[in-house]
Amino acid sequence: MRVVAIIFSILSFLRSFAQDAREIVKKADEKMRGSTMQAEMVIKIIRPAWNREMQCKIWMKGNNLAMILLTAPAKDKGIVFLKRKKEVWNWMPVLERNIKLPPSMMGQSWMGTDFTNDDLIKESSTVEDYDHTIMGDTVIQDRSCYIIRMIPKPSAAIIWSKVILCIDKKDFLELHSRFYDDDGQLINTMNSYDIKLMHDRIIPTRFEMIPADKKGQRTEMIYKSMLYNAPIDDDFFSTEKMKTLN
Amino acid sequence: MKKLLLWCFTLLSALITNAQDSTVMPHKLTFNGYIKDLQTLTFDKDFSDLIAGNLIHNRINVKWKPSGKITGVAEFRTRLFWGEEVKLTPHFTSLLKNENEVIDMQKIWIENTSLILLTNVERLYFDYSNDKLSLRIGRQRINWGLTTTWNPNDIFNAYNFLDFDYEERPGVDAGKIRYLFGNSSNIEFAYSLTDKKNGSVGAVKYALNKWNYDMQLMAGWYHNQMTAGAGWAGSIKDVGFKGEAQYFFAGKDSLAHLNVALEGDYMFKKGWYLNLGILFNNRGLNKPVSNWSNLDFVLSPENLMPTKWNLIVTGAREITPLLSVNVTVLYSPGTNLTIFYPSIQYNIATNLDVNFVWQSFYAGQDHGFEAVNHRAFVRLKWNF
Repeated sequence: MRVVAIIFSILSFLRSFAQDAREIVKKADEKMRGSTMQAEMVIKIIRPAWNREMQCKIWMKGNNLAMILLTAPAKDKGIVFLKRKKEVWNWMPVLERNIKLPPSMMGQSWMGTDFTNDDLIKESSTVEDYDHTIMGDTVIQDRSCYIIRMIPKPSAAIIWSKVILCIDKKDFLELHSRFYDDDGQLINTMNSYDIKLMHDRIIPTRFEMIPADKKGQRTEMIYKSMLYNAPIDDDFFSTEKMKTLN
Repeated sequence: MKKLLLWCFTLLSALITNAQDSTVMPHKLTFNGYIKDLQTLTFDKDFSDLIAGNLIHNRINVKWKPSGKITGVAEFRTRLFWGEEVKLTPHFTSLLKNENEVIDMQKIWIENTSLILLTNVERLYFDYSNDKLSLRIGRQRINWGLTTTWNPNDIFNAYNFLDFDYEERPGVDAGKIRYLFGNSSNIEFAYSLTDKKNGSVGAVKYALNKWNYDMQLMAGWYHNQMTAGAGWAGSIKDVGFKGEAQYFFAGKDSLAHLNVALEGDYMFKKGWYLNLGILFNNRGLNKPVSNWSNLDFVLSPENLMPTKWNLIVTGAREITPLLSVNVTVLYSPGTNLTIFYPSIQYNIATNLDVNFVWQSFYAGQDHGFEAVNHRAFVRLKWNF
């Protein structure tokens, strides 16, 4: 009887390691993104002395196509960002003009938040652009998680030198991530909370990004609604469509 | 004119009443705008003389979308000027008129020696768009520019880049039709009228997105001259690279004219942004001018700067999400015209911003390189 127990435990041990690190990250990524996604979200910039809140709608298809429409506050309402492969445009309703942004804008803060453009409309792929290794296990929010280390491939243009992810073993939810710069310094920490059923799946709906060196500073992103895998035509992600979103 | 305005306001109020109970389709009608208070101090070259100007500026934008294909837009700009600037500037009211507008939709409510209140209908158009075709008729802005500071391709409605308080920029009375060939190319024809003799402008533009570049070619007429131009917006590695060129062919009583603008921009780590631009205006001034006070910045699509060679550098930095700083320096070799133009923007509350703006003008003059004048602005802006 004991032998059987040991065999089972070894088997399960082996099985968990057979879950290739890349596969785990891929599952977590697919879970959060779907083949397409449409979301409404609230973004809160939290600083020791003040807070600001904005709202946006976001449409994404794969890694190459994304659109963001700001819906609040009043002064930013109607601003649109479009990403198509490596190109990014910014529609300014006040100017009635579409401005093409330099690629160097992608790694920078998006609208003053602690998220970069790349965090929001992922240009880099967590699956394709990194090498993945399982480092161990941990428990976060009562969920057993894999700890995975991701090192960017030399060919990928990624500002991090290393990313540590904690992914829930059962539902493949990315619950915690740490981002390190070239000197190995921790720059940002991301935590995910409020796991709920959104459309057809269970996902975290509140994410906080905390810069390491700034006390009392963070940005929260909260999903208000979510629609996965609804077909979106590629033509939707066009500079013409940007002008007519509201 | 009075009738038209009255009609617009009646329509507006009718629409607003409708909006209150149309909760089912909240996006049918949208309404937004702002109120700005702008205080201006104009100093002479050695700060010995000072003229103060006051402006309260309101804009109301109404958009009506009865269906996915049809849009109606009306935008009203109301300004109240008072103080020394009004008193001391001859023909102040006439300077407030947009010369490109053929239909007079400006109403002066109050006009006396030190106070002016006026409203202008800035946009009033009807738009029909389906997947392929888009048609827009009425007072509108035709934006054909791709670069930031100067837009040689913008032949319908030039603007002065120093006029930071007029973000929307002036419009024209025009018709525009566009046909989309797909996701990445389209052709557009636009025609605008002014009340001047031979004042019409018409052109065709073909736009294409290829090799990660937005590109455009255009040809048409500007008043009584033929014109052709080209523009692009793309990048070299991580640096944005844009440009526009416009050539005006010699006409019966006009000379050939060339404007070229080039621009590069880059976003550094930690939020530093740098933009470098050049404008070449082949008929611009290239020698020191004896009296700069006589030179004004009344610009046209042919004449985007009074000077021949113009270099502009803008550095911007978001210090916090609430506070940003911008410094622009313009230099024109030959005339030695130099403009120092820093500004600070601070977000006091969600929809309330304050701006501090400075503009100093210097140039090579009879007594060598010296200041022409200085302007300081404080602006409070509330969006709704």
